[in-house]
Amino acid sequence: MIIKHGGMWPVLETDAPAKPTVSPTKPKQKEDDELDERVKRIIREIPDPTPQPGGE
Amino acid sequence: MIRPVGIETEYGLNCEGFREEIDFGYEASMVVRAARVEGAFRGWDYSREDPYLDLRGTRAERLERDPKDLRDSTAKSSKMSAAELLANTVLPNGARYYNDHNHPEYCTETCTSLKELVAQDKAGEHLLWTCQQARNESARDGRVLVVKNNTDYHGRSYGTHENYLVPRELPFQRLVDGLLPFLTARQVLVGAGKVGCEGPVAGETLFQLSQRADFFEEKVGINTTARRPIFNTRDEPHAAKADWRRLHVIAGDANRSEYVTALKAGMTGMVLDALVEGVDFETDLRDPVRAVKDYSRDPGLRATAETKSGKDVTALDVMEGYLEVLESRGAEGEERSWVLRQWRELLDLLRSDRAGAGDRLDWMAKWNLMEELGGVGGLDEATRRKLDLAYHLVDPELSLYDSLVESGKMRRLVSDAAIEAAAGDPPTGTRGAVRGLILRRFGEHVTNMEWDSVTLTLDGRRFEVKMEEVLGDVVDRLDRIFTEAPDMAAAIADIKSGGKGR
Repeated sequence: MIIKHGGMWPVLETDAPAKPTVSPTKPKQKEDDELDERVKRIIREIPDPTPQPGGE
Repeated sequence: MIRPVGIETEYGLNCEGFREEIDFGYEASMVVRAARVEGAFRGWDYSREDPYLDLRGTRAERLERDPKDLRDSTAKSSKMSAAELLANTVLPNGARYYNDHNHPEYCTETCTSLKELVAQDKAGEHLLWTCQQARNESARDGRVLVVKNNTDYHGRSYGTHENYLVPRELPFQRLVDGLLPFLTARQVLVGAGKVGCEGPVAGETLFQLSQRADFFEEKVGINTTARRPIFNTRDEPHAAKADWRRLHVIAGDANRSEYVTALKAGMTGMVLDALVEGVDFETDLRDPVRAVKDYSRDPGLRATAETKSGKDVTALDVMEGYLEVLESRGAEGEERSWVLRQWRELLDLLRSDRAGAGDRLDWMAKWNLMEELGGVGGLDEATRRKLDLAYHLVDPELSLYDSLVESGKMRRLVSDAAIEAAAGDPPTGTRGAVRGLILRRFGEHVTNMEWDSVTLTLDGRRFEVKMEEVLGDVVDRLDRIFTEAPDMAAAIADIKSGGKGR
């Protein structure tokens, strides 16, 4: 994503989300599979973010 | 020894399944009051606090409130006394734990070691998790998930503040000029990452570096709950006012990464060290308020901001400039050397192989995780937000940060044993150690506490032990007195006699 300073607020170009350099692909390990499963379980179990008061 | 620093974190409460309208004040209070910590003191002395005092030498007539803030129910909290609602607690490790603006807040004691700071901060996370469990086991209504982040993703923010002790003789404008570009750009290393965009000037960003950047509207100011400034001017030193300022940094995120917590405090402390010693970083930005958002909203790290001399600089450029000045000065001590090494290594990684910084940087860890699951742009918004929220949950069974740690994808800086010890022991060498010592040995005599004093009662008489120095001779002397005195009367007598040359 490239941000250009227009006359008002920065103009967001919509080419694609900025993407960090991709690391060399490593073979998937058992730990990765376990992490994937864990992430999927967590996403199923937790609610959407709910409104809260501001703070400080 | 690093520049004295403490971190205060307002935790979020993600509430679900409530039959009645949620009373956040009540819920925050119940979470804090769920703490079962032996030797804690319940109470706080507000008599000398004045958040209206401004570093610029004035006193604000009022502090801004966000007119769009959530107006929550007060059905339960209105029936509580102020003491019940605020639930002020001083823990044996010197930390303050209470309900601040409807959020449980954990404030570490002042630390002079980065590892101690991380351990104290992590002890707070663990405490909040135990409180979440206790609250959910005992409450009749709803489930509360405690989250160490800074946004509800609905346009409202709560803070994570760092507090640095700096000499008052350092001119205010020099402090502002020297720090503003740094505070604007440091998110490239210490941002916690956020899905989406919100706040007064929202854009269409899918993912950004910082949880907080969206909410900054001014360069310099005293407000903290609305019109938030990058440089906050609150002047409550909680120490000898003639000698010290407490630099109240509100332009920072709630970090889960131990490396980032240490790096954030270490880098900022070293910039302050240099400013105190007269170093000029010769960096400025024409519009930091715009830059803080531009930098945050471009995880590609190509966004630039204009300097006053007309040069376009990225956040990496700004951080490189600060680092080069500090590298040229050299580092005193092991921890400062560590900070410079990590700062250099991570900047280089962000320029060459950014994904490789994901084993230390919160925002990059989140990004990598989303990439593995289909890409930030490929995931639907609801999943992205849940992933973001889950990263910050303090429940290790539900936390994505903890999942990454367990799978060996995030580096640790302190051991579980150090965190467990920090839950009971204050950081060493500061007045926090004295506060903890007094609580441990003479807790039954304590009738009030604040950051720079402890009030003790003995035989119907009150004695206020002033601790206006954060560290040094007076603190060392008090430490020896409260360690060696056989009882409270002997300690008081020793203090009144001037410590008998201790």
